[in-house]
Amino acid sequence: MCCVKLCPQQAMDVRGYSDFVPMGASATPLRGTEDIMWTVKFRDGSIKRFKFTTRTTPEGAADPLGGFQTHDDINSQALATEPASLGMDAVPTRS
Amino acid sequence: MPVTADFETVEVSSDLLILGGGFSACGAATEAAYWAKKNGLKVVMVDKAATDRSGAVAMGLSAINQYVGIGAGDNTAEEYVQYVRQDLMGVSREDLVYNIARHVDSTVHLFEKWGLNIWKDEEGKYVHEGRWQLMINGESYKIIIAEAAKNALNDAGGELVERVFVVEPLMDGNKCVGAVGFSTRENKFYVFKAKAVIVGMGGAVHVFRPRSVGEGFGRSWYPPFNSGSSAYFTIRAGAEMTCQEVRFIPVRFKDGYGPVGAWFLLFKSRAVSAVGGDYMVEHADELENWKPYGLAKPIPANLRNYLGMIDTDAGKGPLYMETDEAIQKIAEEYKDDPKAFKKKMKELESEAWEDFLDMTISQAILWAGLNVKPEEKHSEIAACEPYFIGSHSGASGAWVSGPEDLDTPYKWGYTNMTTAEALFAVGDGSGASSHKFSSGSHAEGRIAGKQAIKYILEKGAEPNVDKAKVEELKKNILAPFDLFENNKGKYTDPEVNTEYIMPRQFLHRLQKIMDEYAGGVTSAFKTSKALLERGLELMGLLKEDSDKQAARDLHELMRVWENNQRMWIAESHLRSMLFREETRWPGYYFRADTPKMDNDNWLCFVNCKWDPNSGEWEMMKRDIWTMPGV
Repeated sequence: MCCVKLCPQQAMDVRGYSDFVPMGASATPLRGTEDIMWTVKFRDGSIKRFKFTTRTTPEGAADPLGGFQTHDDINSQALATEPASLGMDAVPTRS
Repeated sequence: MPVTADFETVEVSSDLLILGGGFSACGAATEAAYWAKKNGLKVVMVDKAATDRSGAVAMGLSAINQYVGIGAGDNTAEEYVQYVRQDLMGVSREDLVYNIARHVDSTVHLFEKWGLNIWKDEEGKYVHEGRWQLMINGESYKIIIAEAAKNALNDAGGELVERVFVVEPLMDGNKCVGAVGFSTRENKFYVFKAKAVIVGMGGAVHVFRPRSVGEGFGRSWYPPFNSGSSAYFTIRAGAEMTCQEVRFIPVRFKDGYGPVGAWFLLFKSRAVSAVGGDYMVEHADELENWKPYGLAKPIPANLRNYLGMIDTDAGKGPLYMETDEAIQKIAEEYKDDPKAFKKKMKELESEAWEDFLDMTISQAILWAGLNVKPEEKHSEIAACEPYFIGSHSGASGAWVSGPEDLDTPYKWGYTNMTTAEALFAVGDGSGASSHKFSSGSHAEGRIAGKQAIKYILEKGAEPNVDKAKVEELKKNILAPFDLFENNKGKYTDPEVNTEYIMPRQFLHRLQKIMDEYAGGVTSAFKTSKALLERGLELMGLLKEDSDKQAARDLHELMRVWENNQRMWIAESHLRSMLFREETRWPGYYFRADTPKMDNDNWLCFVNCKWDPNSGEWEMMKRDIWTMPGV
């Protein structure tokens, strides 16, 4: 199904598994850079359409550090972007 | 038709080798790249598939299941420890659970920065599905997380090797110095050498016979391509494993395996048996037998399963999720305003369908094929076949070292390092730290990523790889080609031969043993000492025949080694269930000969270890450390 979603030519059709899904239904995606549209066709012929957001940033733009402040201490419990990315002053500890 | 002689050997050297490409591996890559760049180290990540759509979240996900909200004061990491302890009937590594819980929020905040749309309410706060769960638009969840990992690797001069199936560890005594595997597309045998190795290759599916055995044989709740690569790798490295008996059986929408979390938690739906009873109410007395866990809230997942199974066993099935009732109830408050009612119904319908379309499209197609409109008609649910998924409500995986700053008895090295030196495990690969899900697995990957770099800086040495061993592994791994080529002419049908067995049939044989003796679907999840011993006997014969598997192409070679990986996790499962002489998780498996929970003798971890030198298994109990004051 991932291939169906990614194909820019809409070249692939898909049906349900034939050993348990009654015939006649389909779910057809049209995936863009920030949302996906679905056309769901029921066995009884009725159709429903849905549109969902897929991401809020341009494709390829994910900054691994997320713009959070980083540090150099390999020995601390704080990961690269912590504690900033936790929204706290320090990583919680019990010691 | 490839033969062994056609295969080129490709060597890839690095400081840190990350095996896997799912959430935990991507977390490891993202964090390790940062520290590697600072220290001039090289990180290589190896994925069996294409990282954009690999791993358990390949298709997408409709919720983040672990968000603690510590910074906002919503919950504490200690409360998460209590939640996991309760759900796993007292058996969890509280140090590991705590460690993940205190870091997971930062992972989720990073996801949001990277482009994941987390639902917000009118005040700008995250929309919760449940106490720990956040609703997302998650169709591209994996693509976004993979993108950050790839960008981090690129920035640090690292390397991503896709479509290489990792099989065996390379060991120097008790120290892991790399891995070997093969390309799933080209005739190439890969040798990876490294100073430290992180295993994040997922859990296991298809160890048990699935409910659908025709075209839908590949349909399962957890991804079918997860074959137990992590467990196989750490077991074969001689590392200690834990909770190999703690499989997970989710109850999901039947056959399509659609998620039920949104229905139970967000829409507050009831589940009932066919004769109309809410089994959680009708069988509430049964919870008394599983106290203290049965009497506390939330009721553990396995006990919720169990109460439904009581009705199924009594012939009161099918079980149904009352979707129509739930939606009507929510919309009821708008009943005096027809316009608002219509709008709310439309919104709920969209949310219900997105829940499937984001992550389980097969279920959407099944609903459409059955003409199910959830606002009009209820839908069947059922217990799935068992899976090995330590990141969810199961607990199987490697026994790893705990965090430095906690006073726990489980510390022998760097956080998340297994008992094999330089070998770290994360996600479904590390055990007894359940309920980490997608976000917690990523957080655990980040923890291990930093720790592995720290290990390399402090103790890293050039890997000492035995060339003769590599040649022997290459010969063994590729042997199924020659076995086929040398014997295929003996009979007219290449799939029917007395000299070899095809991987598909071998898989059926494995699944039959597990289903019938180890408490699969057709055994109604029940087993016993006698059944397990018989299962082990048959497993011994299967193991002897495992080097009789033949392959015609790279795809079948992958199937052969996936089978072997499943077979090893299966054996550890049989042995662990046999060792634990009680029933602790009745909704995951029921030991019919020891049907009660026995806290005096079995409130402990069951660990196991395979000795690479002697080939013997050792079974052992390990004490549970409970976080003081929690």
